[in-house]
Amino acid sequence: MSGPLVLVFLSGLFIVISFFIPRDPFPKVELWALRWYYIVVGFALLLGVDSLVLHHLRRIRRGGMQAFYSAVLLIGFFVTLVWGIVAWKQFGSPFAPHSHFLWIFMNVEVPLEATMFSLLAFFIASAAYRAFRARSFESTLLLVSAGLVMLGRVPLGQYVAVPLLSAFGVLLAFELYHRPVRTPLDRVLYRGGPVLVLLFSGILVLPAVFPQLAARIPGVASWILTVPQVAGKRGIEFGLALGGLAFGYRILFGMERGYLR
Amino acid sequence: MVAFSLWMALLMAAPRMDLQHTEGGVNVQISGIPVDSSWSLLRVVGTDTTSLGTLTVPETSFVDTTLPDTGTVTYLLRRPDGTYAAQAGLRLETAPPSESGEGETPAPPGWFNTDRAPILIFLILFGIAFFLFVQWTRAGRPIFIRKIAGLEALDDAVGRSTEMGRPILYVPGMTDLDTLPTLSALSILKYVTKKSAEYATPMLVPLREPLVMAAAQEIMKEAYLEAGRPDLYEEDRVYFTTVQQFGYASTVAGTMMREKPGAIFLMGYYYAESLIMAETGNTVGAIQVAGTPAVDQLPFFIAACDYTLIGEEFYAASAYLSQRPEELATLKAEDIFKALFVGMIALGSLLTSLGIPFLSKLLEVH
Repeated sequence: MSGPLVLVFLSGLFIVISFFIPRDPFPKVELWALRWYYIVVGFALLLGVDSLVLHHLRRIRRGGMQAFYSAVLLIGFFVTLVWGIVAWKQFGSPFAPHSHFLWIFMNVEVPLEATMFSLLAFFIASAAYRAFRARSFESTLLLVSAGLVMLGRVPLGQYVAVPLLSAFGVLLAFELYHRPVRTPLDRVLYRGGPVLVLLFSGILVLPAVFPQLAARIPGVASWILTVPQVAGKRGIEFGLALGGLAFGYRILFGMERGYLR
Repeated sequence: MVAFSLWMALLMAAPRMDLQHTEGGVNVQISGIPVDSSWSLLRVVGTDTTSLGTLTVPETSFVDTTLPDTGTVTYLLRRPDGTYAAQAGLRLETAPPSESGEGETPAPPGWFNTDRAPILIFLILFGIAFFLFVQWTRAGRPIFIRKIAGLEALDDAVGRSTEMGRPILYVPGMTDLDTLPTLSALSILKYVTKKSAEYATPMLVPLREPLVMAAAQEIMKEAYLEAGRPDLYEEDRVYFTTVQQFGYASTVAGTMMREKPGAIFLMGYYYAESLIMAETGNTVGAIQVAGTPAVDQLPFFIAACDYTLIGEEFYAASAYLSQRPEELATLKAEDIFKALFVGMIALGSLLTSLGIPFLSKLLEVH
């Protein structure tokens, strides 16, 4: 074992031991190490600033449209830095009320972040369109369960669920019926499937006649979220826990060195 | 620098909570939470869950004064994204130690936290299986590991990018060097860099954390050297951007739109920004391979990427790619324990349904 690997082993083992021994010196040394970690992270930010400034200076030297964006970035960076230092000297903290730094933060940084976050709605819509296309049995199942969950989670859902799902059922039956039949399995799926879907759509009309059944749609949505969804998620989480543990063992015993130079 | 950073990173444990039962209530001390985020503290008593408020560094302690007289109290630490980071509990069966008692010295905590005994037993058992399989392969016996499509696709993605004459974009996640997902992402980075060096395809690596940047630069330099092409390494292609979550997402999305990479690798831990990156990558027509232990972000990657490493596949990547029998053997230990878990869940469910909660009580961790 080389020097860095010995250090990794000893420090990793210390953390594992301190997890089980709540008595000093273990918690104290752990806290000391934690403080040192934050000190290292703080100083490492200087490396980041160095990389950021040099990267954009090189791009400005190269010229072109990207040089303009890099110039905007560097001006923004230095203006914010200077105002931060000024506010620190004036008010004792850059985030003090009435400081110019706080004004920049609240009126530039926060709206920009909020804008990016808001764009997520459109990205979700386009990804959902791709994921929910009924190309296979699995994606159809996903589409139906997602539709039920969406209808069950909004107050208006239980009123519009019946006509929407019935109409969806008719469209799905039509789509399946027009698929080319190449194998005996296709015959079962694309000829028997539409009949089943139409029957299901017909059953769905019943809640329109008996409104108390429509009121159960939020319950169905909750069941999907708390039973099959959680079961799938926990399966993945078990795998992750074991995978993480094996990865940790490999690091601890020096078998995993990909992260080292 | 990297060795020192990694040493410090490994010293840094996951967020944790320490509880101290006093006359005034329970003092909850929290350590290891990031400086720039707000974390929530919840209390669970029986089936009742109560939110105790939000904690922001440097405020990392809370005194809970509204406690029941007896019973088990569990505290949960919730991340800003809604996932749980740590939990700790205690039984309120005895009176708390007196603070006013003159001459009384509080007894120091014991040498072993018995509440965590099941975890220790599990760690030991897993360790035994781990080393048994390593010895098994050292003796020259073969083991079978199933093919992982996402990892098989890494070479194809690099090859496709080379054919198209476009660069490769590698994003190693949102977390710092003190987390397993980032370490795993860096291991995969080394493999991908070596491949790209063999084909002389440029690689772009925008980064969010300065420590990860320092590690990534060293790893890539080494990978280019191992591939025999140190002349191709350019430090300007492995650069720091911003620590802000959506600022970073917009940088990555902007790089995708401007540079039009042929292959995009999204490896590591992601939050809400995952879909912004994956959808933008899909828009530019790049072949995308993603891998994350963030279960909530997996559906987004599955919808928008060509290949996704699900669950433990992400952590298995470095062992799988190295193809060293010793490392592959550790994956076998995982499989054995997964089968054991399935058996215990089935047996535990059956016993609990029959009114015998022995197994669930045995595995309870406070």
